[in-house]
Amino acid sequence: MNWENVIPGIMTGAAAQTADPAMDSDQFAAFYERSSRQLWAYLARTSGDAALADDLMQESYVRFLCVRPLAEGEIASRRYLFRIASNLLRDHWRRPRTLSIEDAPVERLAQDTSVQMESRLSLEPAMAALRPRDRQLLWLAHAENYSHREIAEITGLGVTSIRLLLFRARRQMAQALEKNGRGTV
Amino acid sequence: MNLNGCARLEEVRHALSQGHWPQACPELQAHARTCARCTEEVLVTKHLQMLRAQSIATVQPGSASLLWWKAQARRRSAMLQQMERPLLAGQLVALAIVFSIIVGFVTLYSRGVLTSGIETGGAATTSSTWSWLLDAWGLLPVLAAAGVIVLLAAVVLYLVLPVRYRDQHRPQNG
Repeated sequence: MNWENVIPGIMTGAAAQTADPAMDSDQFAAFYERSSRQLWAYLARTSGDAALADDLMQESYVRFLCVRPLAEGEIASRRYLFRIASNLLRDHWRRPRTLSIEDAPVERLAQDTSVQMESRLSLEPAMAALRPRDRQLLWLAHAENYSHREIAEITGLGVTSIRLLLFRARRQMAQALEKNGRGTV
Repeated sequence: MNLNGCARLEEVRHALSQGHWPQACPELQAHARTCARCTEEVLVTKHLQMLRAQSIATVQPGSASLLWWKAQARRRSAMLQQMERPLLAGQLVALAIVFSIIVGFVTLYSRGVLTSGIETGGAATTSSTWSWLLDAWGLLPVLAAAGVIVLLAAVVLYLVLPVRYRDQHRPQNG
């Protein structure tokens, strides 16, 4: 008896393809087309770093594909994708910085291209005034129109905490907008 | 601090989420101008929706197929790692058996040398030690060693031969 009959396709990857019969590459491509821009916007606007948003978006989709098929429906899948992305963002923010701007050698700073610098400084003023977590909550609530329960599922916070945090963040952002001359209803 | 907000907040939210805000009924707009909670809601939602629209319009997402294959490769790698775990455990068991046999062999050998040295007044020989071992254990160590070698050879064959077989019979896809 051939060992490949006992463990079908382990070396050829066929097992990986047959593990989720509900999903194929075409379905994924369609889902990606419908959701990737929104996910990128979330990552870029909350992190303020377009390059980081590119990286985290790719990683989010790869992790999504590794753990979950599309069988649970588009809305649940999208929410799960945002949850993965939020966890990746949180991990990124928690990671200790190995080099501060004061410690960085001058020649290294000089090597930064204008594109890289632009990528890092894309956070707009009203968003920059907020803490990263507040930016996430506001984006999910006001840009993506998620309910408090859905935001709790995505971020792992409690619904009551979300209500309070959103209240404060919203007020802070509204004040920043009014200060910046964008206070017209 | 009033977290519940305004009674007309849901109407405002609905108009904003449906994209009806600038064209919302004048009465609702007049209310929003006088209500602090609704003003905040309108300001923040309009601003974030504008940022979202800008980002969505400018971004060029990468290839979906690349991500698909990257995920497949990662899953395959995870499956292989999962498969390798029992094999690793088998190798560790085999190693432990070999090690314990060697330790036992060396211990008994030294005892045999000592005993036969005492018995023969210090003139211990290899042949006398070997005969002592055969008397004590019989062919057990030899059989155990042969068993371990056969086991390890089977593991090597299991890992190596199918890979070669696969490489020879794999269709050439570019």
